[in-house]
Amino acid sequence: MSTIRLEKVSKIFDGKKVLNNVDLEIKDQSLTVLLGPPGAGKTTIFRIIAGVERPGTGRVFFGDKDVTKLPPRERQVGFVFQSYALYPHRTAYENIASPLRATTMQKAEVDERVHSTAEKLGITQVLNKLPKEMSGGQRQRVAIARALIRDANIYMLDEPLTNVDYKIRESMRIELKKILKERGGTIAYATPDPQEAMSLSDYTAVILDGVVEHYGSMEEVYNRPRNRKVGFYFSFPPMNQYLGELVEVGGHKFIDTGVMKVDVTHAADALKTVNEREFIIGIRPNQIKLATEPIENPLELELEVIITEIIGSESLVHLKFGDQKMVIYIPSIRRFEPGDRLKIVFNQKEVFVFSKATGDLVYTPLVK
Amino acid sequence: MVKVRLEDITHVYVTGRKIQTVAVKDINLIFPHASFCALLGPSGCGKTTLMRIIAGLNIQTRGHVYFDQQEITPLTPRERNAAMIFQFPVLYEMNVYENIAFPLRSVKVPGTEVRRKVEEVAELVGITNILNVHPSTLDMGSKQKVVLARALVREPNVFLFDEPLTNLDPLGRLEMRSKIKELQRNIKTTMIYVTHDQAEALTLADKIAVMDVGVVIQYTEPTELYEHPKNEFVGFFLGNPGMNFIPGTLEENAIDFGEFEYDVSDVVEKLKEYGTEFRIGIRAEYVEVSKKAAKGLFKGKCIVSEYLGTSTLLDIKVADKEVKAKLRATDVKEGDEVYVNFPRERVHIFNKAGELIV
Repeated sequence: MSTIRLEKVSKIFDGKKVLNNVDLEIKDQSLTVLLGPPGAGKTTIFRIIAGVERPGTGRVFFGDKDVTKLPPRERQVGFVFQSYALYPHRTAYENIASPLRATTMQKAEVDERVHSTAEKLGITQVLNKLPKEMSGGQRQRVAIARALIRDANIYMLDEPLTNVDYKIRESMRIELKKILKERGGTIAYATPDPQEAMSLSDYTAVILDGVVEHYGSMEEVYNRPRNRKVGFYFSFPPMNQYLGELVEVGGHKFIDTGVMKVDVTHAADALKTVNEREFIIGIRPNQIKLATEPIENPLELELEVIITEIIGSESLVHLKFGDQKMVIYIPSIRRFEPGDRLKIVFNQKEVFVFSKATGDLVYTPLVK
Repeated sequence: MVKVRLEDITHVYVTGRKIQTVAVKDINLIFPHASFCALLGPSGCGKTTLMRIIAGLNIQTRGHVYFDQQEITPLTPRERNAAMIFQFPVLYEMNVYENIAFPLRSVKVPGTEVRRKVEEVAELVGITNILNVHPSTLDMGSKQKVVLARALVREPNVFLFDEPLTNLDPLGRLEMRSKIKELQRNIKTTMIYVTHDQAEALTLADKIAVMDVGVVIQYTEPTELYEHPKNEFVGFFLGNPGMNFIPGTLEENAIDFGEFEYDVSDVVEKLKEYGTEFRIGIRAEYVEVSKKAAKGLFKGKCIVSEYLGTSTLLDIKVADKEVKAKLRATDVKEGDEVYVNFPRERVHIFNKAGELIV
C-alpha cells in the first residue's frame, strides 16, 4: 500500500508562496500527472515527497504512515529530474546500477536488473558508453532507467521529455507510456504539456501558481474542467475564452460577446444556478471547423487570419476576433496567409460556460 | 532586395593538421527576389555554414555566391549588407533608440533622418513604446525585436535568420513569428531562415530546402515537401509523427510483407527496374482503421492508444510490422483487433536506398 498523500502542504521560498494549501493524492498503482506551467510548484511537490524539501506546514503520508519527518533515504523513491543529471565519468551501466550499489543486492541480480531495464528502454547498446558519447534521448533514457531500477514506493518523473528534441519526444512519449504501463507501480509525472497529460495519465492534477486547481481522473478534468483556468490550460491548443453578456431574444438565450452571439438556450438551467449577467464562453480550437464541414447547430463567422502556425502534421490558424484572438485547429497541413478572410463554424451546443465572477464551470457540453 | 544564388558551393573545415570536415557539398540553390526561404535540417547538416557563407563570415572552399548578377565572393561582410539575426540577441549598452540608430550614426546619416528612420522601423516592428528603455530590462522576445529593428534600419540586401526563436517562450515565439511574417510581406526583402524546427519552416517559408549531412535533399514548397517527400529522411523528418515505412519484397503484382501483401500492379513495371526490396511510406493521418473486417483490409492489433485531445494516435501491429495511425475520433482501444487500409493514392514507395520511386 503506497498511496501518497499531501495534506494542506504549503511552502514559502524567499517570501513567495510556491505551494498554497496543497491537498493531493497519488493513488497506489496508478499514474498521476501533475500538469502545470514552469514555476507552478510541481518540482517542489516532488521534492517534498522525496523528502529533500520539508513542507512549511502540512503533512505527507505514504499509506497510513506520516513520513513528513522521515529522511529521504528511508522513503524509497525513484526520481528523474528534468535535467537528467548523470554521473559524467560513469558509464550508462554504472549510472543505472548506482541506486542498487548502496543496497545489499547481489552483483548478479544487479546485473540482471540493469540489463532487463535497459532492454525495455532500448539502450542496451549504450550501456558501456559515457554520457557525453550518447545522444540527448539516450541520456534521458538512462536517467529513466536509473529511476525505475529499484523497488520504490513511488517513481517520480519531473518533465522527462521537456529537454528532449521534439522528434525524439514524439517517439519517446509513446515508448514511455509502454514502459510505465509495463513497470506498474505508483507513478507521478510532472509536465507542462497537456498532450503528455492526456496520453499518460490515469489521474490528472492541474497545478497553477502553487494551487491544485483540479484533481480527478483524466477524463473528468478534461471534460469538466473545474474553472476557466483549468479549461484554458488542460487543452491543446489552449481553450479560446471570451467574455459575453447573457441576452434573451425571441425565447432563446444567447451569450453576446460583441463579435458573436452564441445560442445557449440548451444550457439555460445551468445558467440559472448562477445569478449573473455576464459569462465566459469557452471553445477548444479543435471544436471549431472550416465552414466547409457540415455541423449541427452551426454558428458561422468570417474572420481575418493573423498567422497560420504549422506544427508537425497539423495547422493552427490564429484569427482576429474583435480585439482578441480565436485559434482554430486543422488536422492537416493548410496554410492561410495573413489578411485572408476565413469562414469558420462551430456547434453552439459544444461550448463551455464559466462564471465571470468566480471563473467556475457553469456548463460543459461533455458528459463524463 | 536581391536574388541570392549559390553555385556549386562546397565548404571544408580544417580542424586539425590532417582532419578535414566537409560541411556542405555541391550546393546549388536560388533564393528568389523578395522570397522567404528556409534551410531546414538537424544539427550538423550544414545549414548554418551556408548562411555564414552568404553573409561573408566564411569564405567557401569552392563555388560562387551571387546577389542578382553580381558575384559577391570577394566582398566583405559589410559590403554585402546582409543582416544577420542570431539565436542570442546582442545589444549595446545604450537605450533601444540608440541601439537602432547605431548603424545609421556609424555611416553619418544626418540627425533628423536618423530620427525619422528609427521611428519608422520601430513602428514596423511594434516597439515604439520601448524606445527609451535600456535593453537590460527587456525580455528575450523584445530584445530580439530590437535586433530586428536595428537590422531593418540598414535596409539590407537580405535578411539571414539563424534559429532566432530558439530562446523564446512559446508565446513570444508565436508573436515573433507573426512579426517576421508580417514584416516580410511589408518590406519585400529576401529572407533566408535557418532552423531545425519543422514548425518554424512550414509556418514561415515559401520554399524550404531540407538538408542532411551537407547536402540539399529537396527544395520546394511546404505542402509539396510534406505530401511528396523525395526520400525517407524528408518523410520522417517532417510531420508529427513522421511517415510510416514498412519494408517488403516485390512479388509479381504486390509487395509482400510476410503475412499480408499490398497490391501495386499499377506501378509494377516501374518498380521492377529498382530490384525487389521496397518500403511503402504512408503518413499516420492517412492510415484508415476500422473495427470491421472487409476485403483488402489488413488485420492488426492495437498495441498502444494515445489520446491527445485533438486526435488519437494508435500503434498498430500488422503481422510483425508496427504502423502508426492518427485519427480524429475513434473507439479503438488497446488490445482491440483492427483492420487497416493504406489508401493507394496516399502511399509512396521507396527503394532500398530510401529514395522515392512512386
